[in-house]
Amino acid sequence: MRKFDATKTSKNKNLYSMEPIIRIQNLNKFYGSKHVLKDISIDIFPGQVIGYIGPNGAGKSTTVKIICGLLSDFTGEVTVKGIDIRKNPVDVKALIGYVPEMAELYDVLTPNEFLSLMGALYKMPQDLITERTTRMMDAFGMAGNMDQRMDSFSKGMKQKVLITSGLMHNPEVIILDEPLSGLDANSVIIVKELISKLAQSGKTIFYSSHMMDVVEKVSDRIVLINEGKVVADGSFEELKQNQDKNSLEQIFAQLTASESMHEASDRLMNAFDI
Amino acid sequence: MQLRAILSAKLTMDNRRQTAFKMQNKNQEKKEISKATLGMMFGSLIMGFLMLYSFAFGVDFITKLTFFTTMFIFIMCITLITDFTSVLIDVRDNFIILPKPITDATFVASRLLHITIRSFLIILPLTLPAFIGVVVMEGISVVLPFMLMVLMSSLFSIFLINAVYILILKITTPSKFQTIISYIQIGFTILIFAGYQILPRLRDNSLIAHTSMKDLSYIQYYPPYWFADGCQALTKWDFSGSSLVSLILAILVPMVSIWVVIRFFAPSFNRKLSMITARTEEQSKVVVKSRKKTSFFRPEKLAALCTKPGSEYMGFLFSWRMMGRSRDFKMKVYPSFGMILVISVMFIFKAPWSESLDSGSVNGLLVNVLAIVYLSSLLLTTALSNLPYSEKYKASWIFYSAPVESPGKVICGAVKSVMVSLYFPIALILLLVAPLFSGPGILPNLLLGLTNVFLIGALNAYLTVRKLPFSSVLDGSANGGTFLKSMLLMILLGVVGVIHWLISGYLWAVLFLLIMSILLIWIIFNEIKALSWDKLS
Repeated sequence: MRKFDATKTSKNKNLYSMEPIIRIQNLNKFYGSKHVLKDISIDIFPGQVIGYIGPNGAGKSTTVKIICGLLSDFTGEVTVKGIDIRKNPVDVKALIGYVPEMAELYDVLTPNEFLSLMGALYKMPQDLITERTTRMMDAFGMAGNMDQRMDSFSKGMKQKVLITSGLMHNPEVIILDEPLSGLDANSVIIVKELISKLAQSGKTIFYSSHMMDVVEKVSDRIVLINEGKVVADGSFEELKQNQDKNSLEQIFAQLTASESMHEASDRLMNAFDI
Repeated sequence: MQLRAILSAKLTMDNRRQTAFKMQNKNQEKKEISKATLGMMFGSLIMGFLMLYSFAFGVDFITKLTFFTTMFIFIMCITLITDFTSVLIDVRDNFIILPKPITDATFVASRLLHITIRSFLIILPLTLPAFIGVVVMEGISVVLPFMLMVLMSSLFSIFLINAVYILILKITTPSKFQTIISYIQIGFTILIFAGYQILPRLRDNSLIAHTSMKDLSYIQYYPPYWFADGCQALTKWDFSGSSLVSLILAILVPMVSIWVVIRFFAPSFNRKLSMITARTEEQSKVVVKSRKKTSFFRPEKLAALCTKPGSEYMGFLFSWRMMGRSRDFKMKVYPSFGMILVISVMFIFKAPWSESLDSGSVNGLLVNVLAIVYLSSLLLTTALSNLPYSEKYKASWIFYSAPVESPGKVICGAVKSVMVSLYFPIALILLLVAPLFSGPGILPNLLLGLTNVFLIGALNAYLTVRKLPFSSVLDGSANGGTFLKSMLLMILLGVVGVIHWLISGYLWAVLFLLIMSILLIWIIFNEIKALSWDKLS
């Protein structure tokens, strides 16, 4: 793996500094005897938008959960803004905004109640919570639903609440796990633009997803993980040159497929030929 | 063929349902009856023994049998309500089975058969003791008639519950449906409890002890009587009087009603049931009138009153709302509520002690009141033990991803909300009502009793509630350590109660202990607040 050079890929060169804001070193994680993360080392610099992609089971969600402090049973070092996540998890969590993928919610609550709870857990004063969440949910077109119980919400509506809950405390580091999942077309556009604007304002964004086209356009830098290991790390341009392919999907297929995709679809069709 | 496929899949799922799924332990693929089913059958057997009590009523076979049949249908209905709900309202069917080409009749038949098979597993152990009983009473000739009667009354129960369901669906919306069913289940549980208190007294009532069912003219309209009469007729091979009519009714009515259900009620029933799923976004966008909140008892005000701002305040509000809205929590806790009500009523009207209400002595009422106070703390125990658990436990990720320094504060707020919402009303009622009966002199002792209950509740919480509220999965695995702790607390409760009773005459002692109690509560709450992440289980 070539040593990564941040100066070439950060879109926000003004905000670029030498100190990584997230530093992952020799991260290893086992689920029982299963070696899920194999010696992952990544340095993320402030203001970057990292696209974190990989096939199912590669270890994306696990990495994300470790950075957010949800999993603590690992070896290696993970620091955010110099703070070790194992020694001082609470301080790290205050800096991070986490938007999980279609997570379970206490949906007997209303958005107002849920966001009020989240905000309080982030030690925000109540009036600030109300102000921000009203504005954000209004932008999502959900102003009229703020006092409805979330158990009657569709997937997309719940996802919007989740997005709001992850951003409302204005964190420096934003970690998104499939944030567009379940959203309608309009909302996808809104969120994509939001991510760019957040990045331009200096936030560091860690974006884990399957959706190649979005990752292509939004990320400064792409980290591809397969079977627990980092197999590619660079800007989209660099990866295109290295793999001699034109789209991220092709690069992905080349680096991760254990069996040719074409073969798999042929075999599916063959099932009908009895 | 479709029917068989659906049934075999559902029965396999039933067998696997309650076994805790562990990733490493992949050996649990038994296709035979699993532990969950065996446990259920054993429980039914115990119930069957309890049902033998019905044979203590009345003078002749037919009276006893009618009582038995009544009990049987009642219990079947309760069991069926629970089973029906989980079988009929299996939302997954909407996505998996219904899109495939299946007629409504097949689908309903599959559900009914599923219920029938599961019911069979319950009915067998349930009726076994009674079966032996009737054979002892009437000889071998009763075997076949009894089995026929059991079968017919079961079918009848299935039809009854079906009818109730359809009725409810016609009256209310599908989404309120589940709430109503839960309340009916809670009501039934309380009824059974009350029944077991009242029935023994009824039995001693000489009127019932000496009559036979036959003598009651309106008994012919009572379905359990049909079954009992028909059974007796077949046993003795004597079809005189109304017996023949009863027999015909007993056989025809259940079968016809089931057929009616499958043919006529099936389609609309299915349609309405399939509406009990999450609504689409369009439907949700219709702005729902926000519920009028009584400005008086707003939880926010209560929370601000009882807790410090921050995590504790949030813990209070969070649990308050979850408790009030979470169906599984209510189902576990509200029955206790009802039972305590029943016990209290019984205590007031039938004190087992020689000092009764009539003597007007303060002491007599005091004993009753104290007994109610201390027994009702069991309600707190039930609620606190259920606090950490919820179906939505996965949603607790928020507590782990947010910078929460002291989870103890959240737990403390939650415990306070349990006490305030569940116990305060009882305390208030007692404080207002008791002095009316025996003057204000009872107040110090009453206050001490109530404070002690809060104290024991707080202690219970400190010792046993070591998880965030609504954050863990209830997997039925009884924790040995917690059981011991609960036992200890029960004993403590008893000891405190007795000590209180002993010193109840001495005002200075009462007041002193009252202050001590309040102090201890304050200390314990501080300890709970100080719980850090590593102290949680």
